[in-house]
Formats: sequence, C-alpha cells, structure tokens
Amino acid sequence: MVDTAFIVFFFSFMILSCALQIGSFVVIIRGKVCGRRRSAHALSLSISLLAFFAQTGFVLQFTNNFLFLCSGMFSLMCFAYIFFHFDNMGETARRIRLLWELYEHPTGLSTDRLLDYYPPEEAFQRRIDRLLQAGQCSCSKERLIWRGGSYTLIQFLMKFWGYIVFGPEKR
Amino acid sequence: MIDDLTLIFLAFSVSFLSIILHILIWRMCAATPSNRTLIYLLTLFTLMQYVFLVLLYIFSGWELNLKLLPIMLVVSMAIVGCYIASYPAIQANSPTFQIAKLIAESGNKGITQSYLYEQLNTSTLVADRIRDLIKDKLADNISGTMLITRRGRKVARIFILWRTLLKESKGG
Repeated sequence: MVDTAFIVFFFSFMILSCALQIGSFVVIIRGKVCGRRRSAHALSLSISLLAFFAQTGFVLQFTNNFLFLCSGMFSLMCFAYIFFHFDNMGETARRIRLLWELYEHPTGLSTDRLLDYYPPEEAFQRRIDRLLQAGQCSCSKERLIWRGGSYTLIQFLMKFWGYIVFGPEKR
Repeated sequence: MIDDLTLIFLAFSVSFLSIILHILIWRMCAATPSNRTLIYLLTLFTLMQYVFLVLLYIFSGWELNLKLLPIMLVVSMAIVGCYIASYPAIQANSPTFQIAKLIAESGNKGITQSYLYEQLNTSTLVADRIRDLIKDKLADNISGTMLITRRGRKVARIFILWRTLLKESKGG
C-alpha cells in the first residue's frame, strides 16, 4: 500500500475513533446509562477501540501492517487516559472550580469571598462522598472505615513518582 | 529498512527520554517550574528528538521510512500527554489521598468525619490552589482582589462548556 494513503487512513481512523469515544461518553452520561463514571469511561473506550478494529480490518485486507494496528490501539488508549483526566478535572479539580467562580464574577472577588463561594468544608465533604461512592471506605455508626482498594495502590505510585521527580527535599 | 517493532520501540524511547530530561531539570531547579513549563518542555524535547532522527536519516544514511514518522510522533506525544495529564496529581498534595491515609491509619475502629476534618489542614485545602492559579497566570491578585486573566477565562470556558454539555453543575 502507498505510504501516504496509509498515513491518511491512520489519522482519519484515529480522529473518528476519538470523536466516537467523546460522543458516546456524552450520551452515556446524559442518558445516565452507567451508575459510575469510571464505567462510563470504560464503555466509551471499548466503543472507540471496537470502531478502530472494524476500520483497521478494512485496511489490513491490503496490508499486514503491525505498526498500524499497534500504534493505533496504543494511542487510543493513551487518548482515553488523557480524556479521563480532562473529565476528572472538571469533576474534581479545585483550581477549575475556583476559575469557574472567578469567571462568574468578572469584577473580581477577594480571597475571603472566593472561599465563601467554595468553602473548604464543601471540598472536604465532596471528597468523603466520592470515597464512599467508590467503595474505598464504608460508614458504620457515623465512623468511616477504610476498606482498602485501588486508591491504596494509586497513592503509593503517586508518592513514589513524586519522590523521583521532586527528590526527597521538595516532598 | 527498520522493522515495525523497532519503530514502536523508538517512539517509546523518544518519550521516555523527554520525561527523563524533564526530571533532571526539575531536580536542578530550586523552585518547581509551572505546569505550563512542563507542557512546553516535554513537547519541545520530543519534537527535537524527531528533528534529530530526520537529520540522522539525511546525513548518516540511516534507513528510516520518513513517511511513518507522523505515526511514531503520535505514539510519542500520546505517552507524553499521559504523563502531563498525571502530573498535577503528583505535584499537588491530593486531599483525597490525605483523607484516605487518615481513614486507613484509624484501622478497624474507624474515624468520625468531624475528627477527620480537624486533623486535616483545611486552611490550605483551597487556599493553596488559589496560589497555583496565580503562579500559572490563570488569575491575578490585584490589591487583594482576585481577577481572572484572559488565559484563565479561556480555560474556564472550556470546562464550563464541557460540564454544560454533560448537563452537570460545578465540580470541585
């Protein structure tokens, strides 16, 4: 197959699959198809990977190219990870919430007023609710009990990587 | 001609080398550079390595199919993008992880929400992020008044649009 056509196919399939992922995610969330956000991400990624597979099947009839399939699938999974973080920023990032408040008040806000719109108590309560929803901890007799889960591993990995990037002094 | 597997390996190596270079710079700097600097640096390092590969092809006669370079670039940028997306979680002290740590430390007995709240340094929970906004030039503090910058407005607009599309309210 001509290399140029090969590249054009690759990019068009990638763009189409990414668009399909975003589109299906929006439909899943708006239609409340999945209870958990993580499941919605997994479902939309599966749809996009399947779509890429189907499109690639057409091209692989003419060429048996390993690079096309592997790099495409890998890049799509990376895109899904970036997309997950983007969506997560809108959902959980304190910076985005503060920006939103400032956006709604173009004349500006004092730090105290800004904290009135987004108090630390709210940030705290939202995080507790999310931990409970994710099943990382349970609440029994008004006491929170750790159940252990993926967060323990993620926490360890983040700490470890932070140690490598910033060194022991800055941590 | 280099085979497909080597090309994928090369694309991986390029992004990992960019990440290693960034770690070296971060370790050398007294103050941690901003997230914006990280995005620019990693993109620059990755692109520079591809320019180097092209130069190697031109001057040393290295057998590389230049037409496949865009695909390799996509793979490298995808890895770098994943790293950039994960970076804020590494850089900022995540309150969720602080809460998780305190609950885990309380063992089977558990911990009450009010006690947990007292244990956390809540004054920095939101205040630290206000400082980050100023550092990243998304907001300005003009004589005690926080004002959103033009760049901040652009970022805010993207997320407001996204949350509106999902029919969801403010996060946080």
